[in-house]
Amino acid sequence: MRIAAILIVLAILIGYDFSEGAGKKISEIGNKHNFSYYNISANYRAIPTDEIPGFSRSNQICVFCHTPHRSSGEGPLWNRQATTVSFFKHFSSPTLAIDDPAVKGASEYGQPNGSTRLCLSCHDGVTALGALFTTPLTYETYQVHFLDVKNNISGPNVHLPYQTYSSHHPVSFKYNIAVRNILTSPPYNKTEYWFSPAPGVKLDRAERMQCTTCHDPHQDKSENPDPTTPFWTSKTYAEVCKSCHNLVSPPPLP
Amino acid sequence: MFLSACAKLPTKSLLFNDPDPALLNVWPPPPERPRIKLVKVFKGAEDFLLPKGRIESFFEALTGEHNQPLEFMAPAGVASDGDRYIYVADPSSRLVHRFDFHENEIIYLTHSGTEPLASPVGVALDSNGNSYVTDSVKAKVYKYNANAEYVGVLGEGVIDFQRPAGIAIAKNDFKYVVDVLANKILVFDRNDRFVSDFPNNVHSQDLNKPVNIAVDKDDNVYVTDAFNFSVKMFDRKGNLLKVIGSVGDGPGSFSRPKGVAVDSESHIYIVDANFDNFQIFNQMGQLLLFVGNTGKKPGQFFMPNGIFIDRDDRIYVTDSYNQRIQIFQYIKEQASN
Repeated sequence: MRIAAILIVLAILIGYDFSEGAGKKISEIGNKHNFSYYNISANYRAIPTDEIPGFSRSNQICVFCHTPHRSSGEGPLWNRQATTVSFFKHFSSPTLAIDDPAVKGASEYGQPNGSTRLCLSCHDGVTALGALFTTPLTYETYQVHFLDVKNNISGPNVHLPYQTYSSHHPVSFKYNIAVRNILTSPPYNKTEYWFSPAPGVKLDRAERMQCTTCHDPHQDKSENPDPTTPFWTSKTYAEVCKSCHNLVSPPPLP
Repeated sequence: MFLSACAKLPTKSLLFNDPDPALLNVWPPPPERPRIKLVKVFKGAEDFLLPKGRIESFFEALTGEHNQPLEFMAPAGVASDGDRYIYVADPSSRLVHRFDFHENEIIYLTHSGTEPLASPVGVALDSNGNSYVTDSVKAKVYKYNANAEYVGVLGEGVIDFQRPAGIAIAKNDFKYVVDVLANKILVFDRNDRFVSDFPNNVHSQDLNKPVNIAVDKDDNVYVTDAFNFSVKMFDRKGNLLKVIGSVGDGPGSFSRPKGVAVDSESHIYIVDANFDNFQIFNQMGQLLLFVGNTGKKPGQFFMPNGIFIDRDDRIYVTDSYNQRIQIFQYIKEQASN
């Protein structure tokens, strides 16, 4: 018993990774999404100083994506009546904000929504490069499927406007039973769309596919990390794809 | 996709002569004195072009040409001469839209010579109508002349950009280019010669992943400092003068600060992609006003990105995922009385 306890303490001290095959946790040095100043292995990290006025969060890891509540405490000088606005609505966390009715109401078809907004707010081609693969129109076949669906489903059910240009799998669309029923019924009769999620693969609370369906921004869980599938949410590339595509047709490889 | 270099179709409305009377949005709302007025919601090609005439359609059928105008995908940088042209950098579609309101013509900047653009994120115009386009993936700044013909690479053989993004051109035609990964601002003179960079103190950590930039009439430089969630104000020599904002979700704070611009009275405008608004500050760094919230109605935003203010204080904001530009007017103190 005592030996086991000592071993556990030792394992913690040397940072043994119990989740075999997974990448560094967000809190560990080496995780590329850990932007704290002490993550010396990363190009992107905070400045290790508190000398810059108003910024003393360089050792915090959450603040870069999850904006904390903080107000200057002053209302805008040109609009004294706006002093009642204490905080802006924003996507501070996918588990907090996306089910806000105002956010939902504004997140209509054709626009990225939910936690995907958080990803795109940095992966915009400037702060971080966009999720751009170099082979456009790879998913042409799949595009046609989704385009067909678009004409039959109103509202924010499917989303693909950026696919043509980025050749990225579409995100921010509902993938619930109703959508799957349409896909697998006449006139489409598709057999490859289902939902049998591998561990880690999940839709968001509004049953939408988001970036986080396939990517875990906090930790790469893949057995063989691959730059084309960074922060992969499950052990292998294929088991993530197979969650929704049953491979009657080839999976959408990049 | 085949891209025609030029989509020339007739139009009747000139951008600046035809403010939309339906747009009554002003900020702040009454009874406060209005400071900002929405004057145009510009969807690009679909607003710009009238339906094709029969003759043109006939010629198209004859020649097989498709002068297919492109909609905005996710517009980023924007610039205008305040009269004739609006340039919109659209990295998702890998081109820059140029709208010519005199010739009723859209031209797409798609190549640097024979090389296609990869990720044009920023654009700026000098006083001679030359445009400068930053490509964050090619890591180059490309120059085009007033006819939208490719001229060359800024700083070629002298400067190796790592990731150029925001670009601003001062009244004296000096160019200021943000290098995100180098954490530097690089300055070029009116003849495109490299002059200097800043911050240049070896121990300086003034900037951490800067993304956008503006220059005011006194050549003070404003830089959006993304990883510090603030905008930094420098003098023309690169000395740090002021820091505006910090991370947070209240008025005066930032979550994803993007574009920055300055009006003729030196008010500072900063876009936030997460808040779906822009906030206006005075030279003291005090918050004056914020404009916009989440949505797709006029005056609302969906992940806005770039901002540019022309000589007449018109404010152009790229409303990225509403795939449009919204143009506002700053109402000066004396003009509103």
